[in-house]
Amino acid sequence: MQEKVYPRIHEKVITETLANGLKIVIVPKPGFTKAYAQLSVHYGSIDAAFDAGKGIVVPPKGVAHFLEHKVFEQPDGGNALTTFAQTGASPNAFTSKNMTAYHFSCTENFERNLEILLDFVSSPHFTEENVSKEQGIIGQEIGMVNDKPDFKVYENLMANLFKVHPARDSIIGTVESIGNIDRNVLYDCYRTFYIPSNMLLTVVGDVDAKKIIETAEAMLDKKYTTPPKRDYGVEPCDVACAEICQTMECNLPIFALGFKKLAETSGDEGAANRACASMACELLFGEGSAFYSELYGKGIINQEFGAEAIFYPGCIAIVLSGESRNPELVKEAVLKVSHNIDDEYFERIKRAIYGMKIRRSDRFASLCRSIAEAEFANFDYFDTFNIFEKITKRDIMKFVESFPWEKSMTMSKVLPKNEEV
Amino acid sequence: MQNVYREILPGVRLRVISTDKFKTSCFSASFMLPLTFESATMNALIPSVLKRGTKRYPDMTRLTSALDSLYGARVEPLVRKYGNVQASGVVCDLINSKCVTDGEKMLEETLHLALEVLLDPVISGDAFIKEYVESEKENLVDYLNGAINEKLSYAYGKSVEALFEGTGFGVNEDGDVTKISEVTHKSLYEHYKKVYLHAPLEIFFCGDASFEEIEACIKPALLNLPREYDNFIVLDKPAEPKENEICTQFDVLQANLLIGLYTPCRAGSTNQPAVQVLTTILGGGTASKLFTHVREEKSLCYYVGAKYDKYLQTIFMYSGVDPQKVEEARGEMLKQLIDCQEGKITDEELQNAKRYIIDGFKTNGDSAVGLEAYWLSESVMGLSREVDFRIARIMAVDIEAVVDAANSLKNCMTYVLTGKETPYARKGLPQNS
Repeated sequence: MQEKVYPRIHEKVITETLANGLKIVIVPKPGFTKAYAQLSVHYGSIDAAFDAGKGIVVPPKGVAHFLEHKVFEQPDGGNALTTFAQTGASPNAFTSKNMTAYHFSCTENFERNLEILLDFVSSPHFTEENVSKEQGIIGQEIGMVNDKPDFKVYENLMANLFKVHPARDSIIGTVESIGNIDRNVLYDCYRTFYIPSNMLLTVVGDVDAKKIIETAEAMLDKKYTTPPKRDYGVEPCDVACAEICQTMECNLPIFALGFKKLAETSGDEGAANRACASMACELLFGEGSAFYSELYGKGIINQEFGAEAIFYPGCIAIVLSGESRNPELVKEAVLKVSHNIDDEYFERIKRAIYGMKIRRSDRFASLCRSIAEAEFANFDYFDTFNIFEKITKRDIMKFVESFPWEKSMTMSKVLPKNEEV
Repeated sequence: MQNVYREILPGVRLRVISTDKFKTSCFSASFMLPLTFESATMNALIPSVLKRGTKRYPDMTRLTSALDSLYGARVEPLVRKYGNVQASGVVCDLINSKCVTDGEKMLEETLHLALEVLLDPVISGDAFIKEYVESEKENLVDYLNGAINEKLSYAYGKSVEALFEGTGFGVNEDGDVTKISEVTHKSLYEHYKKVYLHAPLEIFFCGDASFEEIEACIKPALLNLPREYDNFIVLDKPAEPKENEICTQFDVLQANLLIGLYTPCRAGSTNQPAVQVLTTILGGGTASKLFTHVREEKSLCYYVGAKYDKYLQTIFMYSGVDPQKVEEARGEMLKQLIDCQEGKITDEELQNAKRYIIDGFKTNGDSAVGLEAYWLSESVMGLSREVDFRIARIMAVDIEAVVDAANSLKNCMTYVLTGKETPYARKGLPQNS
């Protein structure tokens, strides 16, 4: 058990890696009633082709998400959600492009809840009947998200920004692809990815670290298994399509403007690249930027506007999204944005980013997710405070100048039904 | 955790929760106003216009720069609805001084800036800046029209509007599109001055400072308030709505179904905990009847649940369903209610629901923003009850009380938002688009 103190941010972090490969990260929060635990599996929708020692396997799209739904069901016919209800915890799960995570928050019975979490994730129960039932529920979920213009605009963007990388595919799959998922597919993918060496347990709260480690050791498989190799393909620098547009039931045109750069996003180099990309995004397009105030002032963007850097293995994407009567003007402004950053502005944004990161540490769910994102990309989340501190204006200028803005640009638009495509 | 609440100036109440538990503090200041169709739009517009600039920082760039220098503190417009009460103001989150090396004056400077946004806006003559008002009017129009992007919340908004039509309870806290065009930079400033002069102000702080420190810090900014204030508003009781059935058609893949159930139980009354437990048994979380039977057993929908608006005295059961299965889902959802009315509630369901609610209460206490919402709600109800009191009241609810609560409900709304040419749409129900 290792303990590391970060005096500047007033955090202490306890870590342990078990013999089976499971890494545990505990952030003690004395005085808090709530405790939050997340068991993250390094299996997201982008892990669509992999090799677990028997050659490359490509299952139907949407398996990671399908598993997230099914893992709650237990061999005795029960459901872990019901078990959690008996202990007063609030459980949930999510699947992202990079991971699947199961979590709960509670104010009582933390240890019992942790046991429930570790137990249900370790004991899958897939039958033809329950898989078929889930196809109906996920089919409804697909219908729901496909009615959301902000979801569609983002999905369309990703499908066109990337040519090869599986980040281009929807997390949830399609009605057709999930129709091809059966219990054997689920068991194969489960056995490949749901192994301790491919998981991370994160706990935040006023908890007993020793007991958590003991519980994890006792409840999970003792054997170490090598995680699978993933195949993300070779993404070219250019995009699949520079513009995609569809109409939906919405009020204003919705846009997502994406740019990508092939870059290391893992390890120390990846952590530095991520920090540069996030900071560049804030400096160029954040609320304090000249870009934002000019476009907001002219009514080209509104309060829905956001800019973020997103990271996948081997790729950085910068995505600007929002509503605009004329998304083309946003695009023009991005391509004309000044890359000159004055010293005072640079230091100010650095302070603001530090403040944003501190604020995240009071939000347990968000903190756990950030820790897992970092761990699966082989760096320490808490080191990123120092990485940000060390970034110079020169680093940012270099990043911004070398970013292939125009060459890698994709515009995705969703227009109201009455507007022409 | 010390909690002090006092009227510090005529018409100005301050609540301070002193704790060093969080790294982030929360500060809010809200004018408390009666929610009316006539004034709601202007009250909703004011905070967004105020955020455009103060006398000291007259544009967004300068104001945001000042906030970025304060470690990215944010002052955001915040408009909320509590039945027929509208709270219009600003909320600010800031990091604690202990997390920075140069933070001695950070708290003071941030709170001053937040109050400056609320009380000392940039003006031109006797009006707001025209450009700012016109731009925020357009943003508000877009925001209100954008409600159709989220189908469930759209259905919810339309249901509330129809149920409580003609009263403040039915008014959208963000205003109405038809009222925006008549607002000018002059009329809005006139209205702002009236609010400034008359509306009671609720101020909240949760963080690492005492009541006295916060009072001393903010009082200078408040001394200029010309207080001819109205009395603090206390929530009214909404009249029992008549029965409604509405179908809206859009080009959608999934239908949204909402069932409204009116309860005679007033917000804050002694039998309110039973209604809260009933709502949770019905549709709170994954152990609820709706989730277990309608989603898990019948696979009828991806999401299904129930929410209780205590101020509107209404429970809403909601779901997203296949347009072909709306009737079936409706029947199954109502069956869960009938089961509650007939006392088909197990002790396990009751205990699970209580745990779920209590966990929510306790979790709330672990967030400065959660505490802000809790205590402002208490103020609106004219109450000041600690969470432990509420927990004890939930614990005391028995099955009989839940059954009574279920039998006192009146089914007052069926709202279906569905695709064109789907079975429900063809029934020829009243259209609302």
